[in-house]
Amino acid sequence: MAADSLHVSISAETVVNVFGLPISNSIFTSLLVSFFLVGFAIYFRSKFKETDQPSGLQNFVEMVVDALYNFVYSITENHKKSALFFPIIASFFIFIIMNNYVGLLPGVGPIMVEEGKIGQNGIVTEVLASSEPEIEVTEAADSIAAEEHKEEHKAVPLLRAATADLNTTLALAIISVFLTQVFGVSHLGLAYFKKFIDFSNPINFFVGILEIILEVAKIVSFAFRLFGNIFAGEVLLVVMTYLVAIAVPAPFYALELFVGFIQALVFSMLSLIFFNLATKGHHEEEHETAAA
Amino acid sequence: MDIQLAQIIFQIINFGVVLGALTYFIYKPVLKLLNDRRERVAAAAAAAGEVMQDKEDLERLREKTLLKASQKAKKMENDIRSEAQAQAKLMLEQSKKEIAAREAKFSAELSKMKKEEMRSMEAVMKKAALTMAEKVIGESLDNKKHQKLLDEQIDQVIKSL
Repeated sequence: MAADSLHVSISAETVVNVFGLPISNSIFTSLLVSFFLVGFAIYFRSKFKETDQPSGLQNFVEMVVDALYNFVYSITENHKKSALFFPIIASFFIFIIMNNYVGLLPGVGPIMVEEGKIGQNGIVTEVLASSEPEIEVTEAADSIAAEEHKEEHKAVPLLRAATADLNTTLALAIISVFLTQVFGVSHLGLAYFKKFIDFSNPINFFVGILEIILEVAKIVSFAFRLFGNIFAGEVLLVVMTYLVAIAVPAPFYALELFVGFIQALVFSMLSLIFFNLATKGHHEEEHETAAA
Repeated sequence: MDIQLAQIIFQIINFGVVLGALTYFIYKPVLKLLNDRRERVAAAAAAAGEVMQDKEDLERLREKTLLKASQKAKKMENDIRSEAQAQAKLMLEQSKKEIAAREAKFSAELSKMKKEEMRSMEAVMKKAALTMAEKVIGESLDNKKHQKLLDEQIDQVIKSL
């Protein structure tokens, strides 16, 4: 495969193996984002002052944190629950939006490396630039495996938005659904499982089975919604840039900025709603519905 | 699509690290600061509310005092007015009495003066009449005659008046 091709792959590609663990380009990018976020957090803490007149960076961070906290409080309407959910919801939002926007940066996608040319110490030894691209779409793991046998030195993008990789979105979805169960049990105790296992009558038993299916469906829904939107956006941008390189992709970039924000918000909001619902008893829900 | 369990676990750990770092370095201090600030603002707002309440109480007290003073002033004004009216009435009555007394005195004096004048006029006329009568009758009249004649004449004059 030529490095100067228009590269569209539905799955992330391995750029290096570290102690037998394949590091894909999406993991590599998400690691960069995570390093940036952790570094930023440490830098912010070092500059943080307990003052009533914050300026610059602290002002901005306070504004973001306050807005996100108010967003969480607007759903829970309870300070105790808001304090419990806020770190996770805010981290979901920041992690997802940063990974979404990283995919829009110049260099994420076009910078190609030959698979296997990155040394075991993780240093990129050869970077290939694309000049005259040709379309090549790799779809399934089977075809990748087949091609791996044919071409030992396949060119793959060095960087790929983490949220354009199903593994990342699945991981986030699993965290969200798992924490929903944790919060449910911590607030309601074992009574939380009554909604899944209820032998009181056949209808409730059947509803319990549906609830179990729903929890699994949540993972699938979360993962594929985020992955589909971000991956489709990236493909759209690649194709538009390939067709008309100047000016035309600009509106699509603006659209993708909007989509990136909306998807981060949707994921965070749905997680928050599920957390909140899990911490409410059946009677509380009925009472709220009646009040509404 | 290539779903790999190792990559999923790696991303879960990755997100956990980011969550921990953001919580420890950003969320906790910033939320603590925001809560402290919110509490201070709430305390200041409560203090401001108390001050406003005090101000309103003072305002009410001022209005009450003003109303009381106004009522008192009005009452005083009414009292003074009624007192003045009573005094004026009294003075008027006194004046009327005084005038009546003066009038009576004046009338008495006038009457007395009139009597005196009449008496003096009577004497003059008596004398004049005596003189005239003496001239007419050509003899001197004694006092008794003269007085009788004079009385007759004066009575005629008075009657004619």
